[in-house]
This record gives sequence, C-alpha cells and structure tokens, in this order.
Amino acid sequence: MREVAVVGAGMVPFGERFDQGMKELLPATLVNTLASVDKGMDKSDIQAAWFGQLQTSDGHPAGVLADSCGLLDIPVTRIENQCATGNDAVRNATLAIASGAVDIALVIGADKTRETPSVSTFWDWMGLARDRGWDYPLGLIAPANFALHVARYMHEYDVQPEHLAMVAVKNHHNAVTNPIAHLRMEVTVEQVLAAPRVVGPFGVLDCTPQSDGAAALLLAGAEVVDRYTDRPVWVRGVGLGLDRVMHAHKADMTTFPATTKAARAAYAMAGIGPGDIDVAEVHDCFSGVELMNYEDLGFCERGDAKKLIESGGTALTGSLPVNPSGGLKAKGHPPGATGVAQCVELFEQLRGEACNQLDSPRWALAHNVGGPTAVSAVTILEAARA
Amino acid sequence: MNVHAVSLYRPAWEESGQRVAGPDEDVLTLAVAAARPLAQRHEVRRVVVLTPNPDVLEGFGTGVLARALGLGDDTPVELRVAGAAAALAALLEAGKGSLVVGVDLSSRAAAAGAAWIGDGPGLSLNRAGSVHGSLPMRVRHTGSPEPVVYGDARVERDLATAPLVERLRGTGPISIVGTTPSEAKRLGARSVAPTQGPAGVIHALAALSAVDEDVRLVALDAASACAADVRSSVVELLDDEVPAVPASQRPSITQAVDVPFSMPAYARAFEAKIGLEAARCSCGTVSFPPRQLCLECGRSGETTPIPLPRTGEIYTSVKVHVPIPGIAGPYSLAIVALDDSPVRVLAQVADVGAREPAIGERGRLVLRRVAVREGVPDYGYAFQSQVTALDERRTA
Repeated sequence: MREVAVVGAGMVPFGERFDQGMKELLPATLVNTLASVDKGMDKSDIQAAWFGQLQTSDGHPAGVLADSCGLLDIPVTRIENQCATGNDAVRNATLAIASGAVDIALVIGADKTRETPSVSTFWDWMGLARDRGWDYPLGLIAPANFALHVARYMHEYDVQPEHLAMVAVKNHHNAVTNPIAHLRMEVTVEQVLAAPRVVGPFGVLDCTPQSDGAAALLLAGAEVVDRYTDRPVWVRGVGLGLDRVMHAHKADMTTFPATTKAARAAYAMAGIGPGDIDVAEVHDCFSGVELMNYEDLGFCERGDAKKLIESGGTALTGSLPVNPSGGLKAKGHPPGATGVAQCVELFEQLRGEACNQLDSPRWALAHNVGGPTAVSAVTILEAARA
Repeated sequence: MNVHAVSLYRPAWEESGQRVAGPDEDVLTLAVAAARPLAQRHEVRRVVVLTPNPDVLEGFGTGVLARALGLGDDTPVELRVAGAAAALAALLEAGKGSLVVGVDLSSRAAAAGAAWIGDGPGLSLNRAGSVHGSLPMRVRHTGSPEPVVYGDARVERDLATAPLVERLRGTGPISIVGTTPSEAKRLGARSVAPTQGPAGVIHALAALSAVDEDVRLVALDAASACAADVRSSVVELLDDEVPAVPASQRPSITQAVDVPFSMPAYARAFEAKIGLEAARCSCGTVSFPPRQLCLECGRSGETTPIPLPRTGEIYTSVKVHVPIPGIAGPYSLAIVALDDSPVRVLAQVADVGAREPAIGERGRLVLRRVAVREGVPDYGYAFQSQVTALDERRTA
C-alpha cells in the first residue's frame, strides 16, 4: 500500500451552535481546512469524501455534504459507526488512498446534538444504540452505558472517585487555552466530586458536554503530497475493533475489547508499540473511561491507570500527555466530528502548531470507543521526518 | 374441593403502615407475584384474576400472565371485576386445578393472594349463604380512584353492613373481609386481612388456616355479602414476605413523555423475555436472548428453549440520578449473573429506594411493568435484591 499523509486540517469551534445547521457547519469547516494547506489546495482537487455523522440532522448526510459544499461531482460516503465514526471515516479514506483508487480525499465529521427537545434527547440517542425489544426501555442512557463498566473497574482495581476527578481536572485545564474548546474553565477535584450526580460514579463534571461542531482533514497519497506541503503528517496505522452490543454479553467489563482490537491493528500496521506514542487524544466521554483507555491502549499495565493519572504522567508536562486539546470532556463531543477533531489536534501537535504545544512529539494516537461500547477506532500518526 | 395451597404477596413499599405498589407494579405483575409460586408447584388448569379495580379494562395481558406463570398459551385466563363477596363466591365455585388470584390495588394499599384448588388435603370451604342488600352506599365510578360514600357512617352500618352480616352470622366466631377493622369490631367480628377486596379474602384464608377452630368468613362488597365456613386444616402456605421500604423513597416519573414502542420488536422478544427462556444449541451452548446461529459451533437453528434460573448476583450496577422523561426515577440498573448459568441479564433494580445496590448483592428476577410505551405496558424482568425461602426451594 502506498503511504498516506494528512496535508490539511481544520475545524470550527465546538459548542452550542444553535445558529449553525449542517449546511452552515460543513462549508465553514471545508473553507478552514482548505486554508490550512501550506501550499494551498483547490476544492476541485478533492476526488472523494468520507463524511462521519452519527445523527441525521438536516437530512441525508452524504447529500447534504455534497450539496452544501459544492462537491456534487465526487463520490461522498457517509460513515456511521457510533462514537468511533470520526476515526472510522479517517480509516476508510486512508485505505482508499493507500489502494491507489484516490489521490486526494476529504474526511469530514460533524454532528448536532441539540436539534430535538431535551425531553426526547435520551430516547432519540438510545434508539441509535439499543435493542428495541430488550434494553431500550430500561433506560440504559449513554452515561449508564459507560458507568456500568467503570463501576466494575473501580471495584476490581480499587479506583477511587478522586482518580476519576483527576482526569476531569487535567482535561479541563488543557481546554482553557484551546480557543475552539466548548468548556474553557478550570475545575478542582473538590468541585468534580461535589458536582450534582448523574449516573453511578459520574457527576456532571465527569461528563462530556453535548456539543455541536465539525472537523475535517485532507488526506493525500505519497506521490502528490509535495504539491501541498513540505510538512505532512503521515497516517501510519488505522484500526477498527468491535465487541458485543449487549452489556450482559460482555464477559469482562473492566476492559473495552473493541479498543484492544483496534489498537492492536493500528500498532501492527504502524510497526510500533504503545511505548512509542508521544501524545494521544483518547475517548474521555466520561472521566473514568480515560483511565480504562490507558490500559486498553497499552499505556500502562492493567490496574495501573490510577497510578498514571496520580503521577501526572498524562498531563501536558508528563511523559505521555493525553488529551492536550481538553478531550471530549472539555473540548466537546459532537460524535461524528470527535475522532476527526482528535486528528486535527494531533496534526497540529506533530507540526509544532498546537495551542498546548508539546516538545517535538513524533508519534501520536487518536482513539474512540462508543455506541454500546461495541466499537472502537484508532488512528496512529507520525510527524514528517526532519 | 379444598383450598390446597395459598400464596401471599405484598409490595415492598410501605406508607402509613400499609404496603403500596411501586411505579413498575400493576394488577398483572401483582397477580403473577402471588400466583407464580403456586403455578411452580401445582398443575394449573385455569386462572381467574379477581380485582375490584382493574387498571386495564381492554387489553389485559392474559398471554403475558400465562407465559410468566409458565402455563401454555391455551390455558384459560380470565380477568373479573370483583369485590370481596364475589371473590369468595368464585373460590366456592372453583374446580380442581383452578388458580384463583385476588389483587387489591389502590393508591393507599396493595396486596395480592392466590389460592390453588385441589381435591386433596387443605382448607375446606362450605357455602354458608349469600345476600344482597339495598342500594350501595359506596359507589366508585369508572376512572375515579376513590368511591363516593353516602356521608353517614351510622346509616351505612345500620342499613348496609349490619343487616348483611346479621343475615349471614352463624353461631361461632366470625371474620369479615370488606370493611375496616374498626367497623368489623363494632359488628362483633374479627378482621384479619391487609386489604378489603379479593386479595383480602385470600389473605384471610391464610390467617384462618392458622386458627384452631372453625370460623365463618363473611365477605362484603358495597351492598352484597357472601359467607363460607372455613374448616381449620393444614394448608400449604407460601408467604413471599418482602422487607418494607419507605414509600417516600419510591421512584416517580417527573416528566411524562411518549416512549417510542416497536410492537414487532416486542413480539419477537416475547417468548424469551416474558418466559425468561434461553436457547440451548445442540452443542450445549446457551444464549440469551436466544440466538439461532450458535457462536461456538456454528450450527444454525438447532436450539431448544430452556428456562433460566431466576436468582443471581450483581456483577455491576449503577444508580441513575438524573431524571429521564418517561422513566420512574431515580432508578438503578444492574447486570446480574444468574446462578449456575453462563447467562447475565441487564435489568432495572426493583424496590430499592434510596439505597444503591452493590456489586455482589444477591437477589431474584421478578416480572415488572418495565415501561409504558405509547400507552402499551412493556413487561419484563427486574432484579429484586432479596432471595426468599421460596426462591431457594425453587432452585433446589
């Protein structure tokens, strides 16, 4: 397979964007992304697009992208793979370019989360991920979906609520200096622990906000990269993993097997291991999930995530900074956009242009896990060789 | 015919000394709670559910009830509007193999009782007469929770209750169901039932089975009465006593919303969901909900249904604090590992109050109305954090 690089990355600020529909968010994001290409790119250079969207606000996703962005003459495919949608869109576009079928591809992710009344929101979203005859009426809402895992994880590994709170504190801190983040405010461990309870071990400040937003990447095949930039970021590994859709069928709920499978595939493709990663954007939809991700992604041994967060190892100053953008927790989480936005952050980190710039990272990892914790996608990026 | 066995059930929630129903309980679930222990132990030929206050007039889930009791879908199941007098009359008329179930469900008190009629040993009931009085002085109109009462208690006693009791009073001790305990005392009778409808009659039979003398039981409705002589005898008594939880901790729906419903999805799940039946492949692999394609051996469609154990322990659990429109909350969810089974199930935790269920807690699966979706009750199983002697005997 030929090498694939990211040559442009852009997004719009995450937040409650009631003034912006899909037809506004998508063209604005495309304009920003084309403008990010060092040597410029014309929209007509794009040969195919993959659009990650979980909901269908404003109608037929692929059609809305093609129509609103003026991309009617290229193939547009909508990707929906729950919260792994964004990184799965990256994976699909990467494979298309690697195969030689396409030279330049647009990957764009977007979602709007507040387009239906809040009284029906829970039911709307549960309808996307639950069996109508069995689990749907029981009220297995998204935070409960993850909290059932985290409660068992805390039980088996003696993880305390303070450890969860440390994740929220770190990611909120990182978002303060990120101009596109949804929640730009510091929080303390005490505030997180005292916040109104939501589900199980999660209080309000352990949870991602409901964000609208969009993010995009421009991918190019190795032969054409030079036309666009001298500082590409290489897509070295992509992986997708699945697991059982019913929680009752998950044998060990202290881990997300979907993540371990996706990570194994991505590491193998990149030819590296977790010890090589310099920076990661991981799926911290709820604080405790980030701790489980450390272990599933191989950043530490099983049960050692609490030590890693306690030691500050994943802070901006640590040996493996995680979620320098603020993560889903504070940057925000429009599901279709989230994985793509993680790669936007990592593109900037690997080019030395990020808002919370780290010291010359080389290898970066993006990760989502979602739906009924049944799907995960991992993308591994590498900085251009100096 | 004798009342061979009696089973009693009262909900967990307690208010003013009475047990009251939870948001996930209705006439059907209370009937199943009382009737299932008997259906597990005896051959049931027909089921009669008696209640003065049916919450569903058309569309009562007879199929749900039969399936939940482990009966065939051709077993006759009948719902009758009945007070205490009609319930006692029904017991007197019931044939062998009948399961007579009484459910009393009002906002102030709830109870259920079931009696299995056989020709072996048991409590013998002999008809001692029935009588109709004048106009009822208590009238409950359809759709209204409380009866309209003629506003003179003395007149009610002298013109309605007392004449009925006098007509049916024998020479020995007398017990009354259908009036308050204080009213019964004024009439020279004992009151031994927690509620005053059909469930009260069956609870009274259970109480009388422990008494060493024959007692005349008079069951009163608004303006009629039925009496039977109850001959003291050994009866198989199954009292599924659930510890009380303050009703002030009952979950409630804070915002009503129409929860979307898919009838085809429910219909596909029905047999396994209401019967708690897994599929066992010919290779021995058990799946629940049932899978046709065996994930172990790859055979397709070579499964037989098997009943699941109903006791187990919590593998993981969380309490949902945030109010969810259309769901009574706060509520807890648990994944329960069933005893001696590879199967785990996801369920809401029933009757739990302010407490948070803990990992490792033992309990059992009980039929509940897990949701009302577009007006249709959605029945399924909830986890109740207790295992009674009845469950242990069932699994033994």
